[in-house]
Amino acid sequence: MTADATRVKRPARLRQAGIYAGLVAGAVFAVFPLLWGLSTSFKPEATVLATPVRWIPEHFTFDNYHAVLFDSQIPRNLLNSVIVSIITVAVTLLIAVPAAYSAARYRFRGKGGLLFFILMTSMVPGIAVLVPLYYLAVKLSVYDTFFVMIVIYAAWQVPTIIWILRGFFESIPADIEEAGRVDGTTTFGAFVRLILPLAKPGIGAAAIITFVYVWNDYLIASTFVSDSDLRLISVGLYTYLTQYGTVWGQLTAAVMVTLLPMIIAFVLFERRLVAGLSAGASKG
Amino acid sequence: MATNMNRRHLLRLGAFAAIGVTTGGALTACGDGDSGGDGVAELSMWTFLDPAGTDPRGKALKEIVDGFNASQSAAKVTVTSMNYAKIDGEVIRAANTGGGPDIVNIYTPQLAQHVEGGSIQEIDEYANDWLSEAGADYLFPIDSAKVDGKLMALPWESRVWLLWYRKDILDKYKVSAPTTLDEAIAAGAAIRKASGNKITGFAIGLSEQSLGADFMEKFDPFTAGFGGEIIGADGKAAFASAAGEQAMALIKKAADAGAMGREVLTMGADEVVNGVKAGTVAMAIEGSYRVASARSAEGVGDNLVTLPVPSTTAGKNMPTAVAGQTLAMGANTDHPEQVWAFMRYYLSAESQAKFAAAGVLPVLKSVYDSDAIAKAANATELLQWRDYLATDGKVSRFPADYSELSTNLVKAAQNMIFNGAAVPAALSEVQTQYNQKGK
Repeated sequence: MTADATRVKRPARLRQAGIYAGLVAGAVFAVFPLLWGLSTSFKPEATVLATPVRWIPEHFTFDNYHAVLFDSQIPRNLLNSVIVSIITVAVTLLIAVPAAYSAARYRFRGKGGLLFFILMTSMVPGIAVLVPLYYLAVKLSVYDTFFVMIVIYAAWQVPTIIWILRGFFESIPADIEEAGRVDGTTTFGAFVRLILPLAKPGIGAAAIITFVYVWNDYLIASTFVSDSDLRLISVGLYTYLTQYGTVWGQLTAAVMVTLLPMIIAFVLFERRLVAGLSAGASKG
Repeated sequence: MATNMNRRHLLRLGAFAAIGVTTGGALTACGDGDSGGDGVAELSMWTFLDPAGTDPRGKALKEIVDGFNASQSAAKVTVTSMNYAKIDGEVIRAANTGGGPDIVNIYTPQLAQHVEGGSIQEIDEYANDWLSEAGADYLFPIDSAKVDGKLMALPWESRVWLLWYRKDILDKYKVSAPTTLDEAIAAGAAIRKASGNKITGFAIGLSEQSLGADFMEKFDPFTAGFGGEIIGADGKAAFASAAGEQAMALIKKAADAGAMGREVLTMGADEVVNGVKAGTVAMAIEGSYRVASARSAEGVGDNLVTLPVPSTTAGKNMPTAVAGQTLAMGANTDHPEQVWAFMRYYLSAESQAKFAAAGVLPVLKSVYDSDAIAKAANATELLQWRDYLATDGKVSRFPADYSELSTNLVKAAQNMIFNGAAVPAALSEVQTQYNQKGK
């Protein structure tokens, strides 16, 4: 190795070390509260605020998890969130996939304006239409049902998903459909048999975006449901913020339980999510 | 490829989407579970207590509701638990669309807000006879539950604000227990200095969180202690008075003397209590309803001592606010008679004893003679609290826009205490602004 090459390599290594150090610092910053929450969830309530602060609980306990899983509504809230999230994802995709495909492939009068209008609707802040939506929900007797939440969530997510998927469909070569047509398939057949399988990463990414949105939402979930049996997890967690103080041990245990499905979903679909988002971004 | 979309294509895709939405709707149209038809009035009760949780007060609520449901066949109460910070908005919104609960739990300072929001109805018609019989048993005048002279709710829980101090911390820094507020401030300053500012000697939360409640819970009784009031009999703000200035000067003195630093700007009642639990706050004025929770923390227990809040003169106490939880009748209930029957059951000596056993300070004098109080580990203290409430309890007026006023006042207090704003001028500014708005 020449001296010049060594000189070039040293700054590169330094730069790489700097990048890694930055990434590690970022990761620690992001994970720190989670680890603290995990530690707190294994502490008896009496020692949660004890000083000096201990990362490893002196008295390790599963009582908080027992209370959350067996003496609270959290499991029910979790199930509700899973149901509402999955159905919202299905409804959103059912509407957004054909709409995005149409926007990517077809020419029709007012298409640009329509797409802009669709995008514009997603920019209206939720709080701005909350009162009329609430009034409508009560008057239509759908207040306190999963149905009302699913309709609102889907309505809110469809515009965003249409725009994400439109870019994705545009990145798929139209020649594939033309070849299919030459072989005798219909437009619908080409869409279902040829395009949808190729669009799986994009659809997966859209599904995860919608799922996460519903899972994390508090505004709609707290406004349109008061029945504790229908409550979603984001609202259920507030149970531990009581007038007599915050029940930190159980709250952090509930948060850990709540995080689990999201972590599993990300681990399982991480590659698809990244592929889907980057593919849409390159063309969109 | 770009294809011209014809009508057939559009119809096909439209139908596809419609089927999707319909299927989704059918799948999810569930959850509205109101039964009926058997002549039993289904009553919904919205409260901040959680009967399904581990909190003893929630368990007491469950016992009481189950007891009521089993005691008669005309009505069945179902409890919906809501976060305490959300419940008022939810009830008012629900009532304004023709719904809402039949029975609702309301904290006294929020009663006027509910009256203005049309979410509850007056109960004089139902309560008068009962009050003429049982009203004398109330520990304090029921006026705290009246708005514009009409009874809007029945108080079922009492609370007093007390001077809390951590005996172990005072002992560690060789400071005597205070007998006046001036002594408390001096002791707090000594502790904060000796601990290298790691312990707040005497904390009054000045955060805007929770609408400045921790500050108002001191400013209001202090003002009363100096002979003034926050809201006058005419409904107008009256705190920019000599009494209000003295009260604010007293709080400012705690900061000037060094008993509390700028850390209190980020503290509400929760943070102050957490500080007491963690040993980073030596003294504070907090509610009786939080004592049990604070004592349960490791190393606290009997080290947390409570006293009636002393005044600036030895042997004399500051007044304490008369506030607490109440039960009100929903504006849209179809079953007022059954709701009233439940309210009476909730206020019975048996129900009050159940709450007392769960650490709730009862509102009925007779309950203090019950086994529930006698068996309590802090029976002597409970009786001391009762006496403080009976002797020095002060009913305040809480207008519908009280939360806006308290937020503005705590912002002004931050400036007066830490940023050098002149006390009389800043108080006058908030008062004038409030009164002009109310014109």
